[in-house]
Amino acid sequence: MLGLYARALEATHIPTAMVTLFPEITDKVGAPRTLHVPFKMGRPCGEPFDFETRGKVVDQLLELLALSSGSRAAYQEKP
Amino acid sequence: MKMKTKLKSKLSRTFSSNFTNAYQKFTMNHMTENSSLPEAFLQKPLDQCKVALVSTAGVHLKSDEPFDVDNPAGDPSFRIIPADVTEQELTVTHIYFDTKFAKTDPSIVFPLQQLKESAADGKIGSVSGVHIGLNGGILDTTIAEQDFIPKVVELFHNEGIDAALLVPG
Repeated sequence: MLGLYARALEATHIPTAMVTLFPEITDKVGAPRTLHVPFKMGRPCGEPFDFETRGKVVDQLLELLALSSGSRAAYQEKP
Repeated sequence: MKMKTKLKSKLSRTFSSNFTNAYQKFTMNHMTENSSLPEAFLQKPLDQCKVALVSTAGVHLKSDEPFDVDNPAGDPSFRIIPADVTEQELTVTHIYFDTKFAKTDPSIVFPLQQLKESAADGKIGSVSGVHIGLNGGILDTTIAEQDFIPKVVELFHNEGIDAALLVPG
């Protein structure tokens, strides 16, 4: 359902960047810009209290916003 | 939460963590393929943009009505989360992943604090005053598409939101 939100927002001129745990699924639904993270379900931005990783996820999502639709990024531990 | 829902949650979590490929396949089979990609562009530099979060991890205020996880069709409604919320005021209602981690530290599904830090560091212009909590795991998205998604889109435009970061459960 999140991919549908991404598509609806993009269709009305609001760019989106979305975390994905399952790229095959988000590619199929056509999420415009995705960041594939190597984390577990229920922990899409890393482990509890690992704020450093959380900051990197947000930074990498923000960077994705400036790229074109269809961009597929993978989370970088050391960007 | 009904006993039946608790059981369904336990089974689903056991299935998805032990048979991740089969779980993905199941989800894939229930998804409509979209071959076109909509594309929006930032209308201004990122350091001037107002940014909002959208989460499908079932995040909501403790004072809000929880998502209806007893409904077999899922709960497609949304909850508005104000930017000035404290983490102690947040909770998570979801049956398809173990919520104990997100309840301990909601930022693992809802990185509002880190978005605020991005604003403080000047990477983005500002943090939106409103953010959206949703409950994922909905296979039939018709109601969401007809009713709730357009409402959220309208809200984002009314709030002058320039970009959104989306985080699953």
